[in-house]
Amino acid sequence: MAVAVTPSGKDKLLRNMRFYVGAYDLSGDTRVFGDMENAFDPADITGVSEAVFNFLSAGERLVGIRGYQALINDAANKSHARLKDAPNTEVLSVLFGGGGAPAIGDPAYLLSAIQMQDDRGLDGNVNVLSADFIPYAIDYSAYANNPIGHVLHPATSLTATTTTAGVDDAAQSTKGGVGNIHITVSDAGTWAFKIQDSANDADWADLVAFTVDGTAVTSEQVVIAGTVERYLRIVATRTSGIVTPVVTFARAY
Amino acid sequence: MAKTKQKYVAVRGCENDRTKKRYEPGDVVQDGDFPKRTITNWLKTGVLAKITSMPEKVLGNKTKQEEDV
Repeated sequence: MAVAVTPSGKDKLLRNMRFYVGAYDLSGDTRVFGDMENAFDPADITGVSEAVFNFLSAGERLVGIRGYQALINDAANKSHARLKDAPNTEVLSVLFGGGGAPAIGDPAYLLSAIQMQDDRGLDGNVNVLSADFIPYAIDYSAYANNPIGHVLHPATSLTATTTTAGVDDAAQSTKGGVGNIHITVSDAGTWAFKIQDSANDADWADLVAFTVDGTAVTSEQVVIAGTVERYLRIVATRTSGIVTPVVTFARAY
Repeated sequence: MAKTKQKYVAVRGCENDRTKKRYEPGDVVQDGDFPKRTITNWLKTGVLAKITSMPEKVLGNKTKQEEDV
């Protein structure tokens, strides 16, 4: 039975989440996300005569995925193969589909992260693998801003040059952002992928081009500075072949 | 005399969905290719740069000076 999309947007079910690690979709093996952090610790400034806890934001954002658990799957490119031998550096995107598989404009949580461990254990009778993913140090400054963004392109196969619909982020921002691309399927054809931005959903400028060209399954994160206009979209330009790209983007604030 | 359209050079690729026209970096964009508001915004954000040409008279003088040398 199809699940209806609610007008309120309260339709982001676990069943419709997708988790991409590098070039691989581990959604089918994923069981639990303990926490996808985006938090500020308080700095206690309570004086002895104050009756209520008084605090300021300490200013450091806490980002990372903790308490991740996957079923151990030793098929090719599944959880065991992709997550063994920690620490691993990975480009990660979590997509929150509403009423079905993730679509353009749905929320996303994105990181470039170190997988800190691959602990093995049993949950009842089931073999599981647990890990935390914390931001990769060289990209940490990007996540001091914001890991929460949108899906610009879900996992759909492309056979021709494609320009997606614009995603409306409501307003221009000025502190840059981060974009992830996961090429999950490639037949070795050649493509070019770029993110464009627009103030009016009609006049578009190239914001950033990915280096990956669709010739192989792979992933990449780009970090940009400066103005990002209100609307965002993807242009995938085909020279040859068929490809499945997943693209997410988060503005820095 | 008709007013000359102001010209700009595209620093980043840009395209107009209405006209389906795309400009690669280095291409010349002129008034009317995009709405005025878009051009004003893009001059601020670095998508376009204004082309300011040197007047003929100045060029002539410069040439003459070079010949003198």
